[in-house]
Amino acid sequence: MRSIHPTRRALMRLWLCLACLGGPALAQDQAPLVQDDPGEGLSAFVDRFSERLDAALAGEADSEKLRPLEAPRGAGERATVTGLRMAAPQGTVDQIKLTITQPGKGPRLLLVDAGAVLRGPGGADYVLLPNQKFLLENEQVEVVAEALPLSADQPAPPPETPLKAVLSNDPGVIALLRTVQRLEAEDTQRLSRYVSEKDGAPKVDTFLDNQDVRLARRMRWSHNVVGKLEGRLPREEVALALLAITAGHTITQAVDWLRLNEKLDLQPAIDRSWELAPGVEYLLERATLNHRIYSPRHAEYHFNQGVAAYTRGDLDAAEAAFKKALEKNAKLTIAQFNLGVVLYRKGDYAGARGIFLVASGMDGADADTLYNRGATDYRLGDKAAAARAFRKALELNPRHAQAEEWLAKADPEGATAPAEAPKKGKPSKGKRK
Amino acid sequence: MKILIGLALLGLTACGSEPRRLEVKKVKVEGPVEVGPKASPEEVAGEVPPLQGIIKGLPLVPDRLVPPMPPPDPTWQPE
Repeated sequence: MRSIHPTRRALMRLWLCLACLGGPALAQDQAPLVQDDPGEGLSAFVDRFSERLDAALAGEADSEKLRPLEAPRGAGERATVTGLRMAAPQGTVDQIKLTITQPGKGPRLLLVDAGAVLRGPGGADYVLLPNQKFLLENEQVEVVAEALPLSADQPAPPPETPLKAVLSNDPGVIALLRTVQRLEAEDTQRLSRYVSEKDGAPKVDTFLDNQDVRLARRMRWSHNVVGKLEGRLPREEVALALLAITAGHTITQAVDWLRLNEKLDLQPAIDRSWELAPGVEYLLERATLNHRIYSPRHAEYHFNQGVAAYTRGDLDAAEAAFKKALEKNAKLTIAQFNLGVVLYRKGDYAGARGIFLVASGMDGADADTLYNRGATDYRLGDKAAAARAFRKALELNPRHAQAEEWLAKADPEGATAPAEAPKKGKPSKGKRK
Repeated sequence: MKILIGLALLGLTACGSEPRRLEVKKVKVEGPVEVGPKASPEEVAGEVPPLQGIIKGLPLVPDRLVPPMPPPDPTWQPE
């Protein structure tokens, strides 16, 4: 194969990179150019951030959710991130400066993916907002990337503070960040049909109102570094979804976060958190997480509030929360069960019996539900009913030791035992035809 | 007689001091931490069946979550 001048080779690479990111038609028309680089696919021009971190930046993986950084994977003409420093925040957005080194000139594309956690002093952990793209042209490049904190109340290190890198082992964090990657890399291809650029700036222009259009309206549309139309998810939604995973935030803590970070008063912060909630829940749902515990729109949120109230000993609040959960979803068996426990602990045994009676007939009722029903019956003096409930609990779980123990006490003579089926004997001759 | 006394002394010497039994200490295992209101005195006294406690809160991240794969290639395009 004849040799190609380095400058021409670089131009060909750039063209190829732009062509493949700009549209499949161009790439198809000029496919023979790929043959000049045998063995190099299109992705050879793209470096993923988490795979290209220099091992010299490695920090200590001090928990189960962090794992140590290895040396950059792959070899050859790849870019490597050799420096990480805090940059001055832009408004409320945290930023991190990346120093990138590549052998020879570019162009190459650095894509921020999911995986790396960047650690500052005092346990300030950040991840980069996924799907940011940087076009690398010189041998040494400095770029500034947007970052999201993993903790809500961590103080931001001052600018130029060096950062260490580890890799996240947290399936929730990885799932969320990869979902953001997928939404922005794949779904925007489909959603861009609703975007018009008639008046200059791209914006969603359609009279339709469906899930796709709502997602497209939430996205911020612009042209990326290679001039391609791209939809980005709002940074606040990704940040709040991330804090829901790492710090257990719900819509309530989101209000505080908005007051602190966006300097909003209480009512505007509440209104804003309600505006953002559908987007946050959509992200969590797409990442296959239990998004229903995030906001009071769902029964599961009230269920968790009830558990929290019970844990701190506030039985009235727990009762109200479980009742609210059942208003939202009457089929939530676990809320019915817990409501029964709360009423029992409040001394309302008759009320608890009614609740356990309903719970034991619901889908998903287990042996414990029937046992509690029996325990309440026993407490109310109805030992026959208690024995029947304990028997049903043992049918569901023959190893339920407490049900077995209390069945023996409630019905020592076995009066409630089901009658044995009559034995099959020989039919009498005269009755059978 | 002298032989018997000698054998007895020899036996005591061979056995050494009184045998000691190894002390087996029980390892304390902490039971499940009960949260919220405590059981009623009747339950503690064993007069009525102890109630099963509440079901714990639902987690955001399920136990067996497998994170999705990243997009196969940043240059991916739908057909």
